[in-house]
Amino acid sequence: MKFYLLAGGLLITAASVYGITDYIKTKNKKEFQKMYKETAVTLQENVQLRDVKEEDFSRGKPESFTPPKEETKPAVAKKSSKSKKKQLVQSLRKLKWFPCLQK
Amino acid sequence: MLNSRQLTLEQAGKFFFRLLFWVPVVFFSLLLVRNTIPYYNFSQSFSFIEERALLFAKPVYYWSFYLHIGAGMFCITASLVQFSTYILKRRRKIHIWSGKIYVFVVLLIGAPTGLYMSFFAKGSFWERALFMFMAIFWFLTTWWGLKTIKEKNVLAHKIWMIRSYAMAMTAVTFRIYHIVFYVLDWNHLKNYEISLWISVLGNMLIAEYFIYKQSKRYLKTFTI
Repeated sequence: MKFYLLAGGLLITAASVYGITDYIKTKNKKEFQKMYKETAVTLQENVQLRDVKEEDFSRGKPESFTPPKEETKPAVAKKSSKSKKKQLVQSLRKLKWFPCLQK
Repeated sequence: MLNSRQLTLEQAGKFFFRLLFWVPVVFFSLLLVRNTIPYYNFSQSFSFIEERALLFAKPVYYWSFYLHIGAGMFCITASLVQFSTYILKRRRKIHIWSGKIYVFVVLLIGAPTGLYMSFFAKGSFWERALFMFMAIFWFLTTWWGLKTIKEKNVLAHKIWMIRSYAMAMTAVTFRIYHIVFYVLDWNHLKNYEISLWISVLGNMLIAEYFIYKQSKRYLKTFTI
């Protein structure tokens, strides 16, 4: 407990002494005086419609760019030429295990 | 004399109000800790650091700041478990160790660095004086809290630690008030100053209210 009192007390004293001397050193600096100053935000004059100049088309209007439409066909999944059942029968025929299936 | 139903209702009410108090306290404390962590990438891009670029050029201020926020993180996290009666009664070692961390962090890091930084705080002379008062009061209350528990004076220890915790929590409450006044569209400097005063004085008043309640309950135990 004595350690806390001694070390803490010493640190608090050092902080206050160093803080005062450091503050005296820096308080006259212009940068420090300006540091926390807030510049008031001034509203700009209201922009009215007449202030906005119309676009100059003296050299002709720019052509509007429209991307060419690409003809794309909707992707359609290819139908398998043979149905699954037929494929199965064919593969069994190849094996020649089932004579009833032979033509 | 209350019957069992009234007693149950009373207890449920107390539990509800405790929850109403502690849930925001824990949430905002952890939010503060979470928001402090990014500062440890030592980037200069935070508005707080950018505004005080002149001060951050000084190594003493630079390290004081990082030590102070680190200490704040530790002490707020450590203090969250300190008021739990469950931990106090059944896990006393947790209470003792987190208390040791809290005391170490406050007395040797948080309060001295806070005192040094208070000389350069934002606001007028009175706000700087308030920051100085906070640092010294935080140090003294924590010190008295430690001293009283060493003397086995538990009630006094509770009282001083409540006061110390109230000072630690000004970091949290200040930000809450600041956000509320920002939403109300108050001028930034005015908002800063008023939030600071309300957070310090408000926390002290709340702490005194809890102490009053604690003492009243304690004195009740002597009635025959």
